[in-house]
Amino acid sequence: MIELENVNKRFMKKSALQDVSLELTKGKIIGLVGENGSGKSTTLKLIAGLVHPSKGSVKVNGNPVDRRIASQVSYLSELDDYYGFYNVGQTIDFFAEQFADFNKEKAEEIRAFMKLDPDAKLKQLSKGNRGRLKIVLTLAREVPVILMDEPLSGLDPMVRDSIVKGLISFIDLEHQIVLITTHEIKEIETILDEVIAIRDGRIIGHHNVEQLRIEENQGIVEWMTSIYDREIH
Amino acid sequence: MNAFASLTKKELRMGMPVFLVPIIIFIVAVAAAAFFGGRSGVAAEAIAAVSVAAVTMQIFYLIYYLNFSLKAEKKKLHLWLHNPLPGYSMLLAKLSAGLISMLATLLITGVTLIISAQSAGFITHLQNDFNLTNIGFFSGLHVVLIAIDLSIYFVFFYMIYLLFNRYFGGFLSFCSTFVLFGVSTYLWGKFSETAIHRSLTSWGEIELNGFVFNRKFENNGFEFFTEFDTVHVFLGSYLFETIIVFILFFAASWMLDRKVEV
Repeated sequence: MIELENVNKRFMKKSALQDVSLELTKGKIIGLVGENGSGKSTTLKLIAGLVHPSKGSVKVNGNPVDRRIASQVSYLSELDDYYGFYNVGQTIDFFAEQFADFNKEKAEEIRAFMKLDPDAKLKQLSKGNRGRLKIVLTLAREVPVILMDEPLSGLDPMVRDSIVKGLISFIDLEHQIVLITTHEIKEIETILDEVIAIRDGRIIGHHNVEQLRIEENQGIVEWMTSIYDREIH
Repeated sequence: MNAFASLTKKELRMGMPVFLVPIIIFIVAVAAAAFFGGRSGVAAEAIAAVSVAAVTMQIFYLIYYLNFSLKAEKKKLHLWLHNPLPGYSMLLAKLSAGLISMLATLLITGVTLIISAQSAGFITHLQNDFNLTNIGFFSGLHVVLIAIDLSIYFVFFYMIYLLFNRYFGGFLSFCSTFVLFGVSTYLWGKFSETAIHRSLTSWGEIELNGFVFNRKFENNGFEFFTEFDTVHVFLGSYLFETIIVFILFFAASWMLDRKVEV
């Protein structure tokens, strides 16, 4: 469903990704974890067609990716800039008009779950509420691929847990694949099926989370620490 | 509402401050002209002069509008570019919003010009000699056409600027685009002096008359008015410019879809 084949990405002189190959199939929630600047956001932007590989190819459902893959990919950016002249309800309406697959009823359901006031002006929203709005707009789309770049950033730690539990109920795992980057590993560990570790633009590990727990008796953080240690030595 | 109409509506909302600023400046300028002109008893003439300047300056209106709109969008490219609509629709939505704002501004400045010119009294004299309806229509149409033409050149170079951003920093991208613009303008100028350019553009000559009523002038005046009344335009140059503009527009759309990065 998502294929990255020998992907390299350079930004001017800096190499962001090196020889990344991945094949991800539907029906899974996958965590992409790594340090700051390791290439997590770049990987998501490549799949969303918002940046282009310097070498290699990126495909979604067999189609080479460019910006217009937005028809099959719902992308939540780490940035939370929206059009400040709209309120929450108008932003949802605008997205519903832009994306044919946008399910407005579902958006209303998620908005209510997130306790967002539809009349609240975006300019006046707190960072946490802008984060919630991003989740509403991303999950309300009925697309095969959902990409979420740091979806929990800015959210109050007290509510993160309930939001993470809520996320799972709004994802259609029969038809969707969800790729999440995050630093809040502990908080999303319970919902992840697979985890991919990335370091200095290279994939250094790809594992089934359940297997990690049962066979190696490790959580994601312990697993990451062990592979990071292995990389260093 | 379909996606394009909704996007155009968003562009209009986003461009509201850009729409209002020139109108406010125009109102202030008209008020100043009325005040200072009124002291010398030529208020209407002064307002007419301000209105003529305002109408003429609108050949740059779409550049001004798109510059604001594209700059605002550059701050949230992840939001603007994450859209399934093709690049040409996204750019066309911006152009449509700009054109609607421009026509509304043109209406305000144009009506002010007509009213002030009529109040000025010299219009009665001019009306005897000139067909002001034809002149107004011809000039207004060309203000709009030139504005669209310039805006497409601007969009094309803005996309190149965004493309350069992939490789250089913001300042260097701006400088490189500026140099490229200068070099292309120079080369285009050279090309427009060639026989090939002439053969491509100087065909289908149309002689437009109907700008002058009164031809009964003395020798020199007669020549002047005869010359003024005969405007030569070439169908070839309109078609040639239209083709160039279409090529640049679709090249800009292609860059937006395939090359521009967040």
